[in-house]
Amino acid sequence: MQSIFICVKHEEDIEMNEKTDILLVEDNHSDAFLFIRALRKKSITEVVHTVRDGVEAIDFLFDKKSGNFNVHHKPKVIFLDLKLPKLNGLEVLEIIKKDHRTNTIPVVILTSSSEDSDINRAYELGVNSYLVKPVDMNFYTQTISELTHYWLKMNRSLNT
Amino acid sequence: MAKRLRDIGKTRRLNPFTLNFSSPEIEMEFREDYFSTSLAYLRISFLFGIVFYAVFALLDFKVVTNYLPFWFIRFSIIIPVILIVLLLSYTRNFHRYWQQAIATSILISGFGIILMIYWADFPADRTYHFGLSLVLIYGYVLIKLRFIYNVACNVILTPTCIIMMHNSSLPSKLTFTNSFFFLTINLTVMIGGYFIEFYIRQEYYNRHLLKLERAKIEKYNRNLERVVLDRTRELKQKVTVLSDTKEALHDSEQLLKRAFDATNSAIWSLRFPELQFQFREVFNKLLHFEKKTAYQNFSYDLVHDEDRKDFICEITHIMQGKSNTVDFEYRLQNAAGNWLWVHSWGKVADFDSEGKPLRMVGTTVDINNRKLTELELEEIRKNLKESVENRTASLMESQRALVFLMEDMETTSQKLESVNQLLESVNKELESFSYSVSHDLKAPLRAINGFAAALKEDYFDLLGDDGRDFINRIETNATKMGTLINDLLEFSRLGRKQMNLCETDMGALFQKIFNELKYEIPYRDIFFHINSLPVLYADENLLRQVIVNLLSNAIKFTSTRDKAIIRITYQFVDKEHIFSVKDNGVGFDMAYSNKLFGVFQRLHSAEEFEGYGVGLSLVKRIITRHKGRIWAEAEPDKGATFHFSLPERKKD
Repeated sequence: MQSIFICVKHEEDIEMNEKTDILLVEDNHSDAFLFIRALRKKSITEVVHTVRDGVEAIDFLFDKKSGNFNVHHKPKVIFLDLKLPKLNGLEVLEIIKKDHRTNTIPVVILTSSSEDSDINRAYELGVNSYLVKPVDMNFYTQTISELTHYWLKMNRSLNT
Repeated sequence: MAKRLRDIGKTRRLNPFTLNFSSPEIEMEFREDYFSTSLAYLRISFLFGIVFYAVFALLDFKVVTNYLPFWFIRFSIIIPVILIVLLLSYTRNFHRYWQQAIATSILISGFGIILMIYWADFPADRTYHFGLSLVLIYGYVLIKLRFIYNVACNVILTPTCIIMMHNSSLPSKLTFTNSFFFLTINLTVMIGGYFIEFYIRQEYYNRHLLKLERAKIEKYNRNLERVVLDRTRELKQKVTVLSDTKEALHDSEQLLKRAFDATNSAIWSLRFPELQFQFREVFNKLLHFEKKTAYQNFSYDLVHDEDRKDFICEITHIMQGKSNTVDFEYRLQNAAGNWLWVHSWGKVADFDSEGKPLRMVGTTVDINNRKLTELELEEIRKNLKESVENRTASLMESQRALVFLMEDMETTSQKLESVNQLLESVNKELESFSYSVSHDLKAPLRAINGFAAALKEDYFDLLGDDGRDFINRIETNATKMGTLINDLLEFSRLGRKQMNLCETDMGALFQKIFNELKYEIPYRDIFFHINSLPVLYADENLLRQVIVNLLSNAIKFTSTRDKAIIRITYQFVDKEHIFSVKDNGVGFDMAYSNKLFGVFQRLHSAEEFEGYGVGLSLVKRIITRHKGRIWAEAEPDKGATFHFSLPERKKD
């Protein structure tokens, strides 16, 4: 069972050029841990890269100096929390969806907010899914794993 | 002469030698015309020609010894040839070759005579050449052979004949003289022939021009006729319009007259500077003047003493050009000597070259009755004013008191406004609070839940029975807390949510929700009854929450009963739709009914009946937002009835 922690640690220190499948933008360590645990419980082994705030997320996707898109970092799906330090989730979403290099990456909002204003704004900006984090753990695990499975395996993405 | 001929040829477009027209069309037309006019003439001439030839046979008989060959020439050759040509003239195509045919006949006749001269002895050989001249003259003058063919015949026959005359016997002075005269006659005849054809052609050309002119004139005539017709039509229309206008004018005049009659008003005109007054008979009627007066010099005596000064002033203004219009009320004296209030409106209609008024036109209306009433009213008003002044003084007093009151009120309203602003800011704070509650409170909860689950899944075997129980309790409580937070959030969101009104079938809604709730608890025996309910204009989603809460409460509090009974009834009282949900459950003590709709207020312990005390406060909030009321009646152990009312709302 310790392997889970090791696994998370490993993925936090991931090499910048390594292939990433899932980008998780989450400032809460517990949530990030539970997210990865949910995937591993359901035997989903894709590489997850976790960043702690909106600025880190943008820096991961785009080169800090040149502003070029890091092609190697292009994730297959982005899970994005709304309430984040520095840049919040909606701002990150806007940047991703307005940039022609990244607007084809599916973005799933993963939040505790079920405010109408948040939901409306997220869909206006072109979010692909909006998920309110379930409190019940079984339901949470089920939902996260199914959604990941859907975006990584079932959904046909754009050929690049 | 030659120059003149050339000129004529030029102007007439004639070839001076062949006499052809230079325009082939005219030449063709001329030839056809020439043929048709000459045909009858030609036949008669040919007939005479035959007769002449036959008669000259008598001469042969007298002067020629051997006359038989002569007769042979005459009757076997020449006369048949002429006869043939004569007969040919009755064929259809004769016009194509008639000139050639005639020329041939002339040539044959001429050669016949030349042959006779050749055979003849004296004196015929010295005289018969006159016959040839005769033939040529015939050709030039009578049988319409054209000049050019005649010249050809002449050129062939005359020299041949002269040679024959000199060859036939020894030349002598007589022969020479004959030849000389013969030649001269033939030449003269030739010139004459030239002019005959020249004049015929000239005459034809004139006719041709005349024809063209006539065609032109006909064309002009036709145009002229059309123009005349058009003009006639236009004029007819104008006449119609004119008569219509006249009729309309008459109508309008009648109308005007009646209008003036009906309003007891008159129309007039006034000439300056002599002040000659011209008016219609209506004016007479108005002032009871004698009927026939239509012109009269205006006299200021007709105006009442009190109004005269103003009246003269008005007129003077007009005459000085200071004003163009008159709008004036005054008294006029009628024929009976009574004073009559009238109102005159007028406007200067004509000015002279210096801009001075010449004529003013206007109307005068009898306003006697109105004016008298007005004066009476004025009197009343004056009286009224006095009493009002008295009243005003006393009112002033009360008003001053009112002003103080209003000042007080303003202060109060200012206070109220500041309270309102405070309330608004508190509301906003509350909003942001509930937003952060949703996130901040839920995140640790999820962590508690998540790690508890992880603990349970991964370390279940290591935990003792107590440990497992504790984990379960942690999970249960965390889940409850999650529900509580969600309820609370729902409650706070309700205040901010926009109402979304639509047609809502209350009966269907109640039944549907009950079916959904009942589906969860198939083991319960519940009698559910709905009276007929109306379709309302309301927010269906909000009402759904109300009904879910009320029905699940009813189901919850009847759970101790073997047979639960829930009845939905409806009344319409005082413009309010009133719905009632009655159950036969545990009920409650009405002493606590004031706590019923407060947040987190419970009348039963959570051990007895689960719940957090949020449901009814939510219900109350929704009903209040619909501007309705909610209340309850109950008795412990006897069941409870919840009533809610919705005001009548028209779809707008």
